[in-house]
Amino acid sequence: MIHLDEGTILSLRDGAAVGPSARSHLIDCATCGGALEAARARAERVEFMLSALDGPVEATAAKAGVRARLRPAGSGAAPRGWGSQHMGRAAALLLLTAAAAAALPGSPVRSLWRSPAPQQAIDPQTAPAVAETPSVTTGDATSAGITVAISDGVVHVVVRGAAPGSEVSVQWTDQRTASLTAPPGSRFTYSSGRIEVDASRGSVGIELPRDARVVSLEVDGDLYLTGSADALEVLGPAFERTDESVRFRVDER
Amino acid sequence: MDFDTLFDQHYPELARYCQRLTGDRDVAEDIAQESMVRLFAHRITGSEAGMRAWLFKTATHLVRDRYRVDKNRVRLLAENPVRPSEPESPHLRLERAEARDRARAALDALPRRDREILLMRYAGFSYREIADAIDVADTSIGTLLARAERRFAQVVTEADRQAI
Repeated sequence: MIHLDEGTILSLRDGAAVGPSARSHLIDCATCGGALEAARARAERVEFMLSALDGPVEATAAKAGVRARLRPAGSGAAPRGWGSQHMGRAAALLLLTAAAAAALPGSPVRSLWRSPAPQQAIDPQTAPAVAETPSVTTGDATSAGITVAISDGVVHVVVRGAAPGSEVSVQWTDQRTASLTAPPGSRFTYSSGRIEVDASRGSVGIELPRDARVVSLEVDGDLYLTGSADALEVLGPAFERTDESVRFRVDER
Repeated sequence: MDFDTLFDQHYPELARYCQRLTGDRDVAEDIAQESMVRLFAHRITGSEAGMRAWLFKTATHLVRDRYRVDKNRVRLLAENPVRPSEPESPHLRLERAEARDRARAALDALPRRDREILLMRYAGFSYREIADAIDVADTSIGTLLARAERRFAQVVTEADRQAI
C-alpha cells in the first residue's frame, strides 16, 4: 500500500484541496490516520510555541500615526466633510498624541520619526477597485492613550502620580481590549494583561472589557476596584457608580 | 467601510503577525502601519478576506525588503529596548523570555520562504492565499508547510530539552 505523503496529510488537516482518492485512502489506512492525528497535535504545539512571540499591540498611537501619514503633506486638504476648524483640532490632537506616544518605549511613533518608510512597491494586482477616502473622527485634544489586547481575560491597571481631586473613571466596553487615556506627558508601560501609567496632572480614563475574568485598578498603591464587571468590589473613593462605569475622585493623601 | 472600522479590524492581527515575522516590536508596528497606510493610500477595497490577504501580503513583502539591510534591525533594538513591566515576577519573566528566544531562534533557523508560509498559515490563511502571497504553487504549500512545522517544532523541542 502506498501511503499519503506529508503534504497531503497536512492538506487534509488544514482543509485544503485534495483528491477523493486521498480521502478514501485515509478511511482505510490506520497509518495515515495516525499521521493525521500526529499532524494535528503538532499544529497545537506549533501554535503554542509561536504564541511566545506575541506581545501587546498598541493600536491607539498607531492609528493616529497612520492618520497623520494619510493627510497630504502641506496641502491642508481635509477629508470630505471637514472644515478648517476641525482640521486644526485634529492636527493638534495628532501632534499631542504623537508627542505623548513618542515618550513611550517601543512606540511606533518613534519608528515613524526615526526611519524612512520601506520603499518596496507592492504588486497592485489585488487592488480591484477604489475605496472612499478614509474618514477622520474628532478626538479629545487634551489626552494621550494606549490600547492593549487582552488575551486571557485578566487586566490589571496601575495609576501612579494621580493628583488629589482628579478623576479616575472606569468604563466597561464590549471590546476585547483595555484602554487607558491620561493627560499629555503621562508615561505608559504595559505587558500582557497589565497597563501602567505615570499620570501627569489631570483625569485618567480607563476602558475595560466587560467580559474580562479579573480586573483590578490600583491608584498610588491603593486598590480601587477588583473582580469583574458582574462581580465587582469597589474599594476606592467612588462618587458615581452605574452598570456602565465607576468614577473615582482621588483623595488627598 | 470607514477608516476606524478597517483599522480596528485588521491592525492588531497584522501587527501580531509582523511581530512573529520580524521578532522586533518596533519594526513590526512600523511595517504594519506602513501596510495600513498603503491600503488607504492605494484605495484598496474588496471583500474582507481579500483586504486582509492584501495587507498580509504587503507586510510580508515589506519585511523581506526591510531585512535586506539586517543591520537596521540591530540598531532599532539597541535604540528601543523594550521596558518590561516591573511587577511581573523575575521567574515568570525569565521563563517567558526563554520561550520567546527559543521560538525566535527556531523561526530564524528556517529558510525565509518556510518561515513566511508557517506564519501565514498560523495567522489563518488558506493554502491558496499563502501561495498567492509567497509566489509558489498552492499544491506545494502542504509539503513546504510540513517541512517548516517539523523543523520549527524540532528546534524548539531540542532547545527545551537542553534548557532542562
